[in-house]
Amino acid sequence: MSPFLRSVVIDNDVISRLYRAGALRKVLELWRAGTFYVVKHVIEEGKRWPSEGYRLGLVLDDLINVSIFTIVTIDDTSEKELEIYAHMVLLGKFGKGESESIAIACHRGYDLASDDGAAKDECRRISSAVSTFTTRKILEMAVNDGLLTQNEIDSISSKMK
Amino acid sequence: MSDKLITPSPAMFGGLLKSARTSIGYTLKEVSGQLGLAISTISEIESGKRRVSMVELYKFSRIYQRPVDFFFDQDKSNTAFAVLYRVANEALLEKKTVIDFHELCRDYKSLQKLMKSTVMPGIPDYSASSPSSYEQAETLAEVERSQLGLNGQPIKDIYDLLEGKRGIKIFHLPEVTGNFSGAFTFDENLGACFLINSKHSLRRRTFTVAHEYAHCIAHRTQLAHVDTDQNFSTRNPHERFANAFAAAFLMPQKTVSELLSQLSPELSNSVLSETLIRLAIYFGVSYEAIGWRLVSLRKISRAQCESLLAEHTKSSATAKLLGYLTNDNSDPDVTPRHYKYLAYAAYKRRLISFERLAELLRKNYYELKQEFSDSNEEVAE
Repeated sequence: MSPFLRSVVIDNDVISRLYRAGALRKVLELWRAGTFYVVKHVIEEGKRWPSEGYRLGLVLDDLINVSIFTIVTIDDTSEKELEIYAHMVLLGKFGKGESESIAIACHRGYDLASDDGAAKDECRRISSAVSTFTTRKILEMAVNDGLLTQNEIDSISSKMK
Repeated sequence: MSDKLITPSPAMFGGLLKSARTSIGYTLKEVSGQLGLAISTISEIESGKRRVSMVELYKFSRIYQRPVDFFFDQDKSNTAFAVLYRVANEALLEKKTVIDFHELCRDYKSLQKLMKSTVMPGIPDYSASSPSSYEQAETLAEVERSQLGLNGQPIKDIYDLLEGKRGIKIFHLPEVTGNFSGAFTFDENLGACFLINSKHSLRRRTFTVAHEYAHCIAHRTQLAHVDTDQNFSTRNPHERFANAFAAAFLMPQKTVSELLSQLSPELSNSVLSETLIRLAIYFGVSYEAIGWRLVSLRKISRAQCESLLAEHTKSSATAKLLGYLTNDNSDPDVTPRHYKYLAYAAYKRRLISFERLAELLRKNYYELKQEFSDSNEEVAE
């Protein structure tokens, strides 16, 4: 059963950490298909990674094909979503992927998975209804739900450092 | 949901929308076709007579290849960049390259503001005296070298010198069309900004930076200027002046003479290929640049210079043996050193996210993350 009550927009940080630990699919496939949304910019940035982009691209495409990831883009017909996006960009603190992820999460009522403290703070400031998760929190939830063992989590965590 | 979002008045967008449209070279009709809005509607938006929605603004930003924040910029003066877009178009420079350069300059300004960076002292302006002769170039180069505390020493790093002591923002972008070498713009809000072709070697880029500096201090009233290969061999007085200044700035007469007398005591008859290579290495310039400098200083004749240049090939064993080829062909970073410092300092102080840091440095997020991770420099969650 999914501990995530709502869909989750997942950003670069979390993808990067889990990928580096070789655990991107292993961790995210524990939850029901359709749980995780990823903005198109994040997918494209991953594929542009000069040294590993090809391999990461294969993993990301695989996750999209089996519906673990759903690609999402800013709704260019929504005044409110674009207003949040513009607000994020104007702050000058966040990247395009983070700005889109937060705008989508806040406007559509999704949650946010990010390791950036400021991004999570800003997201909660815009909408108190959004829950935020770090990579470590996701791993802890997997243990609490009995989806992974503590040893497996320790192994993944050590590779994330 | 919080209502405390940034919600500026839409009326402010008109001028910047027009500026973005003209800089990318679109007509009202072309934008009308892409946006599905009537020409009259776009015209009203640009003149501030009609409200623009966020949905429309976002679509404009996509078409004009600008981030949304461009249209919210309070520093509306884009006069210098408007000139640059026009002259860049005439020089067949890619519009995207100039837009990227403009965005880099805006990012630098934002970083300075964010980090409360000290404003550099003003850059000298000699444009009132309209310097144009060879003698004026020599004199001005000497004055500038003196003010910069160089005396007779070679300029080891012209980037650090002009960024550190003059506050000039020097960026690199690859540009293969139109034989582009460099450009300068002097914007009221963004300051002096140079764009240098990253496809060129370090020695050539060094000369281009000095050439743009000449334009910046002597021809500033132009506001912007683009240099192509042709400009470096032109008879245009401004270009000849900029070339002469660059040569004198990088290779001061007195030092060249002293060094040449050490290397080649019998002077002109014994100036050999290896002498030129040694001098080029000492001054950090190209073989061609020092060759023509010796001609202008009447140390060798034009015919001798042409003969030496014909003899020289950059891959020659002599050039390699003497160290001429070392570190000359690696791609330079897009952003200047102080810009990188400000961006990293902002990240360390948690003023910007890691993703924003990567964007500012024009680096791939994952690549930069990997580099930080490998050296254990990631900032904790």
